[in-house]
Amino acid sequence: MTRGRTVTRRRAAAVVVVAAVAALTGCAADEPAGARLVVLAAASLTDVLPPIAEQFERTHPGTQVVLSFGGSAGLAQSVAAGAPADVLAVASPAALQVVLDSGDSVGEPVVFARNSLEIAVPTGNPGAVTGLADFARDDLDLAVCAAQVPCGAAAASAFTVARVDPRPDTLEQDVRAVLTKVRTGEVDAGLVYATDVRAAGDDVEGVTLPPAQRVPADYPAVALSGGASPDLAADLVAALLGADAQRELAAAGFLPPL
Amino acid sequence: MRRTRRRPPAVLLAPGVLALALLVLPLLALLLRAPWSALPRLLREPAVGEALRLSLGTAAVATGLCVLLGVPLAWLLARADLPGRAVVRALVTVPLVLPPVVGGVALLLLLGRRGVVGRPLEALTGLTLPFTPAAVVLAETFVALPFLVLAVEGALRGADRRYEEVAATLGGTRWHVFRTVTLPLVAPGVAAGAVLSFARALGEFGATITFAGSFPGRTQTMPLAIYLALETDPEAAIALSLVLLLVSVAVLAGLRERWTAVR
Amino acid sequence: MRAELGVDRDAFSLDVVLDAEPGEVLALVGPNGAGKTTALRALAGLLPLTRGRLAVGGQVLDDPAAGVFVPPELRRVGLVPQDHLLLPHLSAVQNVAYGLRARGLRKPEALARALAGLDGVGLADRADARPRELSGGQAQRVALARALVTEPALLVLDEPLAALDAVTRLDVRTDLRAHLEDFAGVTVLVTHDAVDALVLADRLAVLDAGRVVQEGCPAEVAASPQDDYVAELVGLVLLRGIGRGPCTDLHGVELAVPATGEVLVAVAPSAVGLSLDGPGFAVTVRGVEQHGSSVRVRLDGPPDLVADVPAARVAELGLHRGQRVRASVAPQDVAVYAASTPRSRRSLAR
Repeated sequence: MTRGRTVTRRRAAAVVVVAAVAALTGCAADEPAGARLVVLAAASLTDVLPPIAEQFERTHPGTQVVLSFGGSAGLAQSVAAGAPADVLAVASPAALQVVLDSGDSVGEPVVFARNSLEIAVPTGNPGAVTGLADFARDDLDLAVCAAQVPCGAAAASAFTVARVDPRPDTLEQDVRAVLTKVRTGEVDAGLVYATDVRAAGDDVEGVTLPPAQRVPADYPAVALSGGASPDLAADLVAALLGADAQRELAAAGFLPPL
Repeated sequence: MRRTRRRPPAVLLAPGVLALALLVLPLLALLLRAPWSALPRLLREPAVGEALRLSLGTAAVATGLCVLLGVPLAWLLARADLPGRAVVRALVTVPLVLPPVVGGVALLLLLGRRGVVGRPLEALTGLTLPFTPAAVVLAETFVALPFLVLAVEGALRGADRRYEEVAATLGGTRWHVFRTVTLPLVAPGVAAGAVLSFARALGEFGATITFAGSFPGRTQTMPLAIYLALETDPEAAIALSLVLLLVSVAVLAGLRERWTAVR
Repeated sequence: MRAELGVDRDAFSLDVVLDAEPGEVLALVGPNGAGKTTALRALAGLLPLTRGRLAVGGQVLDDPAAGVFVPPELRRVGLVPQDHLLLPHLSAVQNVAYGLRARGLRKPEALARALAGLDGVGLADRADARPRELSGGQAQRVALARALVTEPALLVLDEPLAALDAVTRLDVRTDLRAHLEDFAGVTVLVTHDAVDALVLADRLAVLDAGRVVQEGCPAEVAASPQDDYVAELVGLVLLRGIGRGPCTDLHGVELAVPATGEVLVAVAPSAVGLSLDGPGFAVTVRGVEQHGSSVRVRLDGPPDLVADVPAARVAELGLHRGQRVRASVAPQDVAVYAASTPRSRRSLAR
């Protein structure tokens, strides 16, 4: 399973048992001295953030960036519940709202990337899927995100735009879970983000959508007040807009912020 | 002689109380933070009833499967001249140590559309398991079966085999003796195993979401619904957890009552 | 019944030949580890023979050479186990009916016959009681009824009285005696209790280390025990001597009893007289202990002896440990008989 899955599973427990959060989100306190930045990030950033983090560590000697990935809403809730972290980067502005409301953020959130929907199909496209209209077919096994998570909300918008009444077989908890179902060939198509199709490599093929159906999603990041070094955290958020980071993001299939 | 209530030794008392606290305090926090006022509304919501019915139904069927398949396996482990018994027993316990998600992946690799068995199954019958309630039952059975097998095997090993021998000299065939002597003797073990299996099946999350997916009314059991609710509405998630908790406690207490009444 | 039982288990091997006619009660006696339980399990079919042959009522039940093994459920063997082993989840009458039901009898008829069986052991009024509600003696009687109701050709009793207290034991033993007299099949009774064996059995087979060391009717065995175990069982001291025509030589002590060759001399402790300087031979007092109404004095010889003397006599002689006294035995009070060679007795050829 993906790293994102492991982290999100931990989170379920963390929200219920607040006391356990510090231990579970996992930043060991006995690391060597030097600034440590804990970044909680949306699962769809799993592959693109590590090189950006390394870049940041190079330009800020002595700084160590620790990345933890999960579903956007859950990450935001664990921050609001007191999880110690410096930066939160999520896949939807709506998910960030709980952190802004709880006063755990420092400064304004910054949109650093956008992601657009794309259909992922197993290699060879066994279901001969060509567009969103195929999501109404009963003869196919189809996966989309549940409406409660950002990718599900985006999918719902896309289906509205396309005037399609989808007949999915499973409503997954996050976009990576949809991708996994496609990769393993359990479904004939899944509605995911363009970056997920790139990340999956040869296991899946992408079926691009007409621009009106892509429903671009903003990715905001914000520095958190609960962290040890808010200044460094603000630097990291700013760095996400820098040329190096934007190059990495573009390579991974993200669109630049508007 | 003067009778006094003797206090248990502190070395046992202190960790024992601590263990109880560890088990009970999180539940207490859940009760404390529960949005009680929202509970009636949530309970009336069709989606909640749907998830609850699905959970109870699949867990009950999975428990039935566990008993039907697990008791014979336990008997083979405890009583038959099984070659490589130690290896078989180790294999039985694997699902206990396996992260459930991995169990779900393993089930996919076997019974998924591209699985070792799943692919020929679909080719021959047109049936696919994933995304069906049957897949939920299978995932739950996979994780719950070891509990039943271990409980029943323990009971079988503890049972006095001389009862079975006497029954044999009285003319009982092995099957007759199993039904009329062995099974009644290990009934408490079977009951305990079934309760554990049911509890484990009811709380199953990882294998289910991986193997069966999540669709309301078909494969979205209570734990999946709770997990999804956490994404948007933690209060609702707590309320749902409470519902699952209360229902499980009620069911387990009810079963216990029945079994103790039979004994 | 003809049972040539040969069983090898780990370091132990059993090789015995047992014969018994229908209506006869054969007791297997012997110390722990003699092979009694192994023989019993082989008879019941709970343990297959390694060699030999078992036939009951003309039916071969086990014959490894011929590849015949009849499993316990197909044998007509009734087992009354030690600790009764009534099925705890069934009532007394259901326990007795178990064998009938297992053999396919319909429930009403099985229960009716079971009730009659319970009546036979005087427990019809306890029919609905669970085993844990029965006393030890009652449970043992239910176990007997359970075995008898299936009309077995061979009834095997494993220490049927061992778990009972002394008073109950007396009652149950008397009952058992009556039931065994009525029973038409062969009875094999395993016990380490001499009184049980002597009261209940028509014939005794004494087992030691997996072999029959003596066989005969109770009176015979009791009168001329062939080994120390049996002698002790029947309250005799067994001495080994050599017959020298008119006399018997007991480790240097001449006894005026005619005999030839190796002989066994059984002495009743009550027949041994003690004095400070009377007739007889010199012995040393090893121990003095109360024994029933008299005092048992253990004596170091040769020959080693045990004497039962009245308490008054002990005081009179001032008996104490280490004291040298003289012991005498009247010739008419000892039994001298030829020693058979146990190992060459009827044991199985390998």
